Order: sequence, then structure tokens, then C-alpha cells
Amino acid sequence: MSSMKPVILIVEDEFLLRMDSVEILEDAEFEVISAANADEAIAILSARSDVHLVFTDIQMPGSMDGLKLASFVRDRWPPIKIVATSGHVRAAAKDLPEGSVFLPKPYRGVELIATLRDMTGIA
Amino acid sequence: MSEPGSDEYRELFEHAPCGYLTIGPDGRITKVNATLAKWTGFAPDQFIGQRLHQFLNMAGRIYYETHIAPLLWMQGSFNEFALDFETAAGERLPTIANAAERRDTDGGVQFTALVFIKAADRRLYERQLVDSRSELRVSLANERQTAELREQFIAVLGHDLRNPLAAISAGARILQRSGNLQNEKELRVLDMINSTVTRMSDLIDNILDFARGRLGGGITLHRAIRPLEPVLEQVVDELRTASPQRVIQTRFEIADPVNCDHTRIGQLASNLIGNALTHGARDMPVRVGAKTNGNEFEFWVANAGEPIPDSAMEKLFEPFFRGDVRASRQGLGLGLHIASQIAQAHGGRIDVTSSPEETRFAFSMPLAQADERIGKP
Amino acid sequence: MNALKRNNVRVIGDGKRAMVLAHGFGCDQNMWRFVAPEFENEFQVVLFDHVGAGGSDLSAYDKTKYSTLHGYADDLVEIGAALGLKDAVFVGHSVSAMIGVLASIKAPDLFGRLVLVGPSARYIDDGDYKGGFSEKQIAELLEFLEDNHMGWSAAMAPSIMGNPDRPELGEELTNSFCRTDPEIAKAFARVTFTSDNRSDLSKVTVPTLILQCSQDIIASEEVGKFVRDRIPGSEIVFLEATGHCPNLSAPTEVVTAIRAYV
Repeated sequence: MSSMKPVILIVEDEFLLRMDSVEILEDAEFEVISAANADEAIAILSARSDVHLVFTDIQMPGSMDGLKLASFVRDRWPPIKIVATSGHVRAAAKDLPEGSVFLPKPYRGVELIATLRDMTGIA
Repeated sequence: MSEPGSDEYRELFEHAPCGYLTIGPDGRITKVNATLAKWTGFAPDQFIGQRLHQFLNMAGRIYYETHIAPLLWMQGSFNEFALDFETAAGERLPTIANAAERRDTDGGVQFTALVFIKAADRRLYERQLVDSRSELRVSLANERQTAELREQFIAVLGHDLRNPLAAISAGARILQRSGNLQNEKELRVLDMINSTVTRMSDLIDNILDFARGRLGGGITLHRAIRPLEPVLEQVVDELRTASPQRVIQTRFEIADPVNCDHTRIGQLASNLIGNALTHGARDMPVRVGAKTNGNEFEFWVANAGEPIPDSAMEKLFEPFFRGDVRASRQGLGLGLHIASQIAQAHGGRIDVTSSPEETRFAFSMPLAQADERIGKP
Repeated sequence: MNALKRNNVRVIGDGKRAMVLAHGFGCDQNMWRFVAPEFENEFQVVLFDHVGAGGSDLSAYDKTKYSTLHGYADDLVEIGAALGLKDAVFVGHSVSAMIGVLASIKAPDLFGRLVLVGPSARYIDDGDYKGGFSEKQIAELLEFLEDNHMGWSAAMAPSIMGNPDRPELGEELTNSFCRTDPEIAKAFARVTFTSDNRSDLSKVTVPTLILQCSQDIIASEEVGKFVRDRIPGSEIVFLEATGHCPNLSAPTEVVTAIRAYV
């Protein structure tokens, strides 16, 4: 592990939501990077190897939606944990890679933090 | 009473309240009674020696050959079938008939007896039943299709309305956090942005829930066991922000895990507390509590102020009921209705007590539940 | 879907050659009850119900498939294949006569002999061709069928298929031989009475016998002769039996005529 803080990659196309999530998680002692769509996310993941968890919206424009991105990430970088969210679609366990979590919108900031702490092993 | 003589029997036969006819083994009519002759407008001797199908309309003839005759051969009798005669005047005479064969000892057919009852009304009634059932089936299929479209529309609408709202909230939060805005007025503006967004969001939630419920969908629950206190705390925080001059006191003692839909419980809490803020005394605190007691989860909201009038008590949870509301406080009157729907969906209830000392709304639900979708009763 | 189960196929007797008995519009395989036993010793007698009749699997009924007689003919070919039939005798009553003709054209090796009882290549009059009915009359028939549900109820349907949970209903329910889902009955009636197989007759390559009843209002003598004229090398026998179901009203005569031909 190269960093003390867990590294979270947020993938969200809505600008303000993305910025807000980054700030919430930074306040909660995560190291946060962000991408606006799947292509950007994959570029980031290809360039660095210390990302612990990808937090992605499901509905996104571009070549892949969040579900496809999740599956791609699991395929290429199996150790990376995945949390998916959506206000529209409700993903079932079978739609996401094993061990992933689905957080329905709207979620409270505290819920997001709790979920991510849970998955990255921080009490 | 003496035994009826053959004349009496003959009378009974001829003028029975039904048509009567017998057919010999060769398929030709051997006897017909006066009633049937009168109904059809043919003289009895016009029947004798003819075949039955000559007096039926074409549909009846086909049916006779393909269903009635075979069933008589195979089964010896056939009851309650419909048959249409064609009268001498060329009109249709609908009847319901029974037929039975009389066989001799070695199985040969002696004759076939048929009885006919005029059944214009009954046939018409049955026909109308069948027709309306077909119509209903088609309607139902259409309804289902429309309902699916409606569901999709509601889902998309909800998402499309909520997403931009969430973005606005997020923007306001970012500004608040930045610390660059020291000005009281500017901070206050941000507070108001947040509370307005919350109000709008609740409105959307309520409208969509109501629409879905009214349209037959019912409230869907997604239960999970996750900490409930943070959810309730955040609801209270939002409401405090929206009404900074009001005091909301909380006491949460949730000892056991609660298997519930957190979003919905948050919505219920928000609606009940909002209601207390709207109707309660403005200079007294609103008190909110939650606890588990082994079997149940309880959440209550109490306020001081004017008690709820008896006349309003019955209608509290009806949709669009607004009671005596100050004009400045908008609202569709759906909050309590939705709250009660959420309560019911969780297998719980909301009890109301109201006196000059205190008005209290108490939600309780059993802790042991299986995950299920509960529709509107 | 297993064809034998779908069509409630029953095989009785243990002759070397097979004889397939096909019921017509209105009833089910029970209408052969006086004829079938007579051939048990010499033939393997195959009885079945068309889909939508008798003990067939109603869930296999598909509106599109059975909107023409070809759907029924396909089933017949499938049954033949499932039983490994070759060069069998086919006895088809009423509309099953044409169904058998179509099946024989589809699978020329399936049947070695065709016996058509009361056949009609087309029921509705067409110019000089007198099928016996007008379109209006057929429309009236379809209406009329709706008035004769015969106590059909969906709740009873499983018992007709031998539901072990309801033994009190016994084996032979009243009217069960001719009772079926009224929707299906109506559809079968429509398919039957609006069919036109006149152009298929000349394609038959198998020796064919027509059994013609007298005073059969459904398939008149004229119609029977038409079939005989168009099927190459076919023969016609005029029965003394009257009406449309000689297999029930005059089984001995029918048995004799069939036996003489096979």
C-alpha cells in the first residue's frame, strides 16, 4: 500500500455532484480522484495502480454505463472494490461484480462515508 | 286422487310448458307436442317423418351433426345445449334443450327424446355476459400495458426531476464548505437554497409516491439493516436549517437493528416533523424520539399548540387534507397520507393523540419482517 | 413438447401395420369407440386428439400455428415420426380428411392408404362449386358456438386431463367428448369451415378411398364426388348411413368398408 489514505475514484457525469462527493470524501480522510465518464475513469486506472475503490454512477453518457464499467474494472483490475449508485435504476446483486455494493440515490453523505469505510476496511 | 288416465297424460304432453319431440332410430321425427308446434308455427303433421335439422337454422344444423348427434351416440344424453329453430315465419326461436336416448335391452336406440325451453332472454343474458367478459379481457390487457408505461414514465420523471435538484444542493454545499463566504447574508442565502431544494424534493417525492399509489403501484420497499440514527439525524438537521428559529429536540435510542427502507423512514420522519413545525406552537420545541423495545421500532414526534379538532382527526391521513393551514406554508396535503402509506408498507401504523398539552404522532412497526413488496390495500 | 403427450396419443392393438384414426370437428378420439376395437387384432391402432380437443394439451394451442389446417397437419406428421410410422393407413373424419391429405403431401412415406370419411375440400360455396354453405351461415355458426359453452369452465380443465387431485370427477365427464375451451372451439370452427384445399387434392400420391354418407348436410354427395374426381386414382363408396358421423351411427358399415379397402 503506497498511501495511508484509501484512494477512491469517483465516476459521475453531473459536475456539481461530482465536486460535492469529492469534498465529502476528502473531509472523511479519503484520497479522492474523479472522472466524468467511463473513458476518463479507465484512463486514470490505467495510469496509476493505487486505486482501492471505484464509486460510480450507473447512468452516464459515453461508451459505457456504470454497470459495464464495473464489469470492465473487475475484469482488468480484480482487487479494486466497486460501489455503484443510481437514482433511476436499481441494480441487483447479479448485475454487479461479486462483492460490490449498490447504494441507491438519494443517499446521505454519512451513508456514503460509512459504506466506503466499510469496504476499504476502516472502522 | 285417482291415477291419471291416458287422456290426462296426453294433455300433459301436448300442452306442457316446454316443447317436446321424439326421433325414431332412423333419425325421423315421430312425435311432437302442440306447444312446440305452436312456437314454431308449423302444424304437428309437418314435423312427423321429417328430420330435426330441417327446422333448425344452419348453425343449428351443423351443431347438431357435429356435437349433439355424436354426444347422444357416445353418451346417450346431452343437457343444456342451445339450439335455434327457424319458425314458419322465418324468425329465430332460441331455445335451451335436453336430449336423451332410450335404448332397448341390446343397446339399440328406440327413440331419442328432446325437450325445448324458450330461452330468448336467458340466451341474450348469457351472450351479454360472454361479450362483456371479452371486453373486460381486452381492457385489462390494455390497462396492464398502460400501467407499465406509466411506471416507466414515473420512474424517468422522478429521476430527471431529482437529479438537477441534487446538483443544486451539491453546489450549495460546496459553497458553504469553501469558507470563502463569510458574509451572514450570503450564508443565509445558501441555507435557504438548501431548504428550498429540500422542500421541492419532498414535494416531488410525495407527488410521485401519490401518483404511483393511486395508479395502483403501491409503495415499494427496499429493506436493509443499516444504522438508522444517521438518517434521522440528517432529516432533523435539514429541517433545523430550513427553520432556524425553531427548536427541535431529539432523543434517539435505537438499540436493535431495524430492517426497514431507510429512505422511506427518513421520508416518514421528515413528513411528521414538518407537519409538527407547520401546525405546532412556534415558540415551543418540537420533540422527536426513536427507540426500539424488543419487538418494535417506535418513532414519535410531539408538538405543543392548538389541539387537532375532532372533525379533522378522521381525515388526517387522507390525501390532500390540509386542515387549517396558514397561507404562507404551502404543501399539497400529501405528507401525512404518504407517511401512513409508508407505515403500512412496513407493517406498522401511526397513532395520533391530541390535547391542549400535546399533539403526538407515533409510528410503530414490528422488528421482525421479511422483505416484501406491499401494495396499496 | 412431446407430440405424443401433446396430442393425447393412445395406441391399442398389436398388428404389424399401423392405422391412424383422426377425429373431426366437434369431438375427440372417443368418436372412434365403436370402430377402433374392430381393428385391434390386425392393426396397431393409433388414436389421438387434435390440439384443442379432448385430452390434448391446451397450453400447446397457438393461435397462429392453428390458424390453418397446416398446423394440424404438422402435428400429425410429428406424431407419425414419433411413433416411427411408415406406410400406415390413415382414416380421417370430416375436416381430418383434409388434414390427412395435407400430412400425406408433406410426408409421402407416412401413409400407404388414405380413407376419407365425409370429406370436403371447401365448405363455402364458390361460384359453380357448391360447398354447401354461405359465408353468412358460417358467421352465424361461429356466433352460435359461443352460446354453447357446454358448461366448460377453466376450473375443470385439469380434471379432463387426468388431474390426480380430483379423483371424484371420475374418468368420463359429462360432455367431455365434445367439450373444449370455447375460444379454441370457435377458432377450430373458423379454420375448418373457411378452409379451401381444392388445389391440394391433385397432389396426393397415395391410394385413397372416400366414404360418403347420404343426406350429410355438412359434406354432401356432390362435395364427396368432387374430392374423388380430383384425387388421382381415388375411389368412392356410398354408405347407406345418413348424417355426418357414420363412425358412430353406423359403425359396422364403416368398418366393413375400411376393411375391404385395406
